[in-house]
Amino acid sequence: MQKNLLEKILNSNKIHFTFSEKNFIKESFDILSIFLPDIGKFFYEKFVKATKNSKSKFEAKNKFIDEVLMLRYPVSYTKIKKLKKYKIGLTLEFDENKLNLAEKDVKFIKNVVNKI
Amino acid sequence: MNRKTCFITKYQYGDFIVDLDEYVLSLATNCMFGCEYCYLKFSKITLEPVIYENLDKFEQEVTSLFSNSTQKVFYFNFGETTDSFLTAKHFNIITDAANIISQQAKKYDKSCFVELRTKTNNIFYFNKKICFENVKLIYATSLSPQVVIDRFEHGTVPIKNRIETLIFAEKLGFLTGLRLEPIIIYPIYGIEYKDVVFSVKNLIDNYQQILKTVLEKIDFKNIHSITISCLRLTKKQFKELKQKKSKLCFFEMFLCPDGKYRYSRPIRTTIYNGIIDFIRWTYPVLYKKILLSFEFDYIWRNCGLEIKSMVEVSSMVG
Ligand code: SF4
Repeated sequence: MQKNLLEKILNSNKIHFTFSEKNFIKESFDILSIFLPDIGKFFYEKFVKATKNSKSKFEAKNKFIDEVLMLRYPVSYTKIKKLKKYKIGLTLEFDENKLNLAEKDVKFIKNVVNKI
Repeated sequence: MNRKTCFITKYQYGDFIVDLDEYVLSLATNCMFGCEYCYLKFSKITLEPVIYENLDKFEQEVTSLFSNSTQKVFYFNFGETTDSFLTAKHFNIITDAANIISQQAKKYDKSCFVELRTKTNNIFYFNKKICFENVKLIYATSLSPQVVIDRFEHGTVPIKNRIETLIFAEKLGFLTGLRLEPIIIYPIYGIEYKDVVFSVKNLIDNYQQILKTVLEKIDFKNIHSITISCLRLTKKQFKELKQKKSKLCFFEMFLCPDGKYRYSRPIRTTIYNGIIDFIRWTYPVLYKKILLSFEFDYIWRNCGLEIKSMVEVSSMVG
């Protein structure tokens, strides 16, 4: 039942995913289902919301992936949004002192990435 | 059984991980306990414990290590390939190996520390006073919240007993090692940001409570070190555990530069800081004995810790 909802999303003609995006969505679905058995319902709600307010399949995809990233990495993805201008990788595994940034930027980054 | 490969190997921490300067002693291998995260389960065909008997080879390796090194202090870990106190045979090998190390350490003027790590209460049966020249034995036990032990460490003894063994070990003359590892986020109260925050806060509270209980009962001067480390999983472990729908596969884990999955950085540093700050402000003398295991140098720095090795901590102990 839950898997069917996932298939419905992945095969929908209202949204376009690349192969690797599909894999990421499937993997996230599998991991999250360990902690929330009715994750399919959750994903489907996000899908409906993303497709309803979008002008194209690509816009819908971006919105939906954004929601999946937020579900999968609730803490890090919030941090990444705060650090948008620095173009930092999602894993946040870096030594901020080696980023070649001004001291005040390094301080700001440290404050963001070292606490939830 | 005779061991064909080396008994003593320098610990390989992995790319970019702070080197704690430990040697692994493979005097025995395997373990029949059921820790869901144990790497032995993923690399060994049989779980039946094996003890190696050809200690003449071990002695040669100790001699060669000491005679070829100018290093004065050595840190050996006998808890990597098995549980150090698993069976009575393990007791014997500990004593025999410590004797060999002691003789060679005297000869080459070395000072040695041997970590014996366990999740058993078998030390109550061991029950003999420990005293070796130039060798100090460290009785180290993993301190985990009872919910984590019940869920992920099948067959091991409860936290209450682990704490009792530390007190007993001290009486027998061991130094003690508090091992807050692997730290596992459990229970997980939901998948949203606020749920993760709550789960992490609950975890930190649990560890603070454990530390409070332990530190009221043991002598600080006998504590060799306190190590802290969050759960790490290899790619293979992560894949297999995910297929089994194990709750160890937390959703916010990333593949780190050393090829291991870990909780995300904000989560790890929050956990570490929650525990380290508690020790720093409540038991300041213990602060310098804290180490992070298997972590990157930037994580140490962001937890306010000076990078140090087990050898350096051992030198502080004496
Ligand atoms: S007690 Fe140690 S060696 Fe034994 S299964 Fe658990 S982690 Fe592995």
